[in-house]
Amino acid sequence: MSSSRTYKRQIPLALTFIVGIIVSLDWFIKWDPLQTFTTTLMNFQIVMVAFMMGFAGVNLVYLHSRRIQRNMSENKLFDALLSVVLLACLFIWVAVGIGMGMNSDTYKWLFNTFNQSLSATAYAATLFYLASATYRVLRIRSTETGILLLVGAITICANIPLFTAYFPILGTILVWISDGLVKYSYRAITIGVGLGGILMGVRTLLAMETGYLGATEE
Amino acid sequence: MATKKHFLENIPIGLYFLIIIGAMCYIQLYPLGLPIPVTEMTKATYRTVENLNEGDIILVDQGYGAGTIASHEPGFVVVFKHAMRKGLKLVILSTSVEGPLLLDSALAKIRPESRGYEYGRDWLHVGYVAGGEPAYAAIVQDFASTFTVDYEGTSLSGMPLAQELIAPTYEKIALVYVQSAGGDVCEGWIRQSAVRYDIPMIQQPLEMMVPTILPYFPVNCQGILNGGIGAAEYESFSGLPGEAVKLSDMLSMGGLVVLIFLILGNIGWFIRPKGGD
Amino acid sequence: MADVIGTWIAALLTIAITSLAWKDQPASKMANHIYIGVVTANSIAQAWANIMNVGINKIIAGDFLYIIAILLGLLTYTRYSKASFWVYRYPIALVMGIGVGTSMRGLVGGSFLDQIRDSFFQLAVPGDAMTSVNNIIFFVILLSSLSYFLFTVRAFRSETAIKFSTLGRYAMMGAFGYSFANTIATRINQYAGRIAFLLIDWLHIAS
Repeated sequence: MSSSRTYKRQIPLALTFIVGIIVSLDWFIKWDPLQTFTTTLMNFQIVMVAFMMGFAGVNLVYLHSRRIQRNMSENKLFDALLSVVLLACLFIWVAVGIGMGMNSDTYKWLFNTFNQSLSATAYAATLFYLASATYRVLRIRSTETGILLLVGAITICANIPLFTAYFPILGTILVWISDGLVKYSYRAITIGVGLGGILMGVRTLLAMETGYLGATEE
Repeated sequence: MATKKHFLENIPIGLYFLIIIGAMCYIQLYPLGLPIPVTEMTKATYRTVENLNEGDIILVDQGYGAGTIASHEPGFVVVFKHAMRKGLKLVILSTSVEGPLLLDSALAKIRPESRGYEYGRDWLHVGYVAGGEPAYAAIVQDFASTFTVDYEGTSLSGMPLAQELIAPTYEKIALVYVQSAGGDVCEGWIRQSAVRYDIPMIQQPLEMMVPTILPYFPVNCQGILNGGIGAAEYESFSGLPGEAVKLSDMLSMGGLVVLIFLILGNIGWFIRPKGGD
Repeated sequence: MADVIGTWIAALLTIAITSLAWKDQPASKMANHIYIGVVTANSIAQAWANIMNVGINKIIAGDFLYIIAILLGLLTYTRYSKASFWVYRYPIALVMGIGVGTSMRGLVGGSFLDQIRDSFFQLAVPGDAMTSVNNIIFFVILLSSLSYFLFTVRAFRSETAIKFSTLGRYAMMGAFGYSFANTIATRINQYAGRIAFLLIDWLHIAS
């Protein structure tokens, strides 16, 4: 049991520590062999992360295959059709992208017609949820929300050339807000986040944070 | 028992959406063409590019996707055109999976060949790179160890610009220009190039990510373009008009509608009788 | 012809996704599912190109060390097997170690030291009262915002300290108001791009 725990858990944790220390040391020690080694490690990272990008496809195939089975058995034909369409698009795009290449005219047409319009609109359509929330929910109920809405309203006005053309003072106020109020408030947050990041990094290297190993018995 | 909402708080939401869309459509058909005030941050970005010498190399992370193309593409186009005007060289990579496929659209507006810009000698496109921050570190340390072919699959060994980036790459790069929707990408580039090697940097995050990057200005990041607004300012300041200036009118109208409804909602909330809320 | 068909499909998909804001109905559901499929597929295609360029091409060129990278990448798929899940921990341990080591070394300088160094600016500028006042205000904003996050220091639980950190809270709310306005600007900009596409490229009623 203990030897299996060693190679299933202890060695990966030790690997994280050793690799993390080597990569960190490269920052402080100017030595060409070390730099070459860490650059190679980073290139390995690029390849491994590229492989991990396939997880999304695997998960989608697994999830939607089960949905098709379930929806067909419950006679929900439209819902089953949605999953079929999703998987069909996945396979067609992957086949064309890898088989014909992403530089092929076919793939570019597919991307420009489907990916571009869908991505752009999905991102942009959140404007309506934001606008709806702004209208229905944002109220000046306290000093804090009052300040938030006041600064927000001034910023919206200052970003509108229609207002700044007639009230140039808005530009000056916007500069004060962005280069002063926002910069120094967010600086405090940045310092806090930086400290937190360093601490989390140290905890990970010292095997005090092991969530990335996944939850199993060992 | 909840009090009844005032009618100003209860305008049908479908009508609100139609007014936003209608106002933006109207201004697209009948643009106002108002002058765009240019902020110091945009001027600093412009000056950072302007102060480079002919032949200097800019490493560009064209890290935007189709979701943010309306903000980022004009910024990419105008900075590329400015770089061409100065005789600078550009090496383009992307940390977004959609970035390389959107480059054609931007190049159609830039037309580098019209300025005598030759691919492989004056500019280069190496495509998408996965891996996050370690990838940025690897690229800045030794470009050739990460990229051996360009986006089309052509070997970089025959390209003069790629040969100029032989290790240590950080000594060969005069400027890093990062476009991204994500603050982690922007901060990652700051850490691996500006903080480590003092390489000058300009960034174009989305407007909503600018507050996250502002603390780094100007200590690590010498210029920040405020998303699409910043791109419009840059176009106006550099005398290279493009798409962003045209979109700024729609931004004005859309913003105005949202502001009016925000005020109406709050007026309605203030004037309705309180109690039992 | 292909361009015309493509424009029409893109326009109809744009309208279908937009209609989601009004009501979830069959057209928007279909468009959503297509979206998930095509975006995931594009990621996979790009990842494949990356593996070829950074991994396989190097092996073909004679750098056989990258065989290890390819093997480690393939081993990540053992996560789908309960019996051999533990094998997945090796590549993920490497990824974590490299990632943590790379980002941590930059955090100290970028998010901490450089920020503190840049905060030591001249408070009183001779002959420029406005700048001096602004500098003092900004320094107070920085200190009060920082003090807001100090939860574990006993001295910062006094009434004066709490009032001081409240000032920081107000400053941060102002900053969030700026962030909120910029978020609206971002979304409007993106939707403006879609409206421009519909009116110019699809309907040809604007230039």
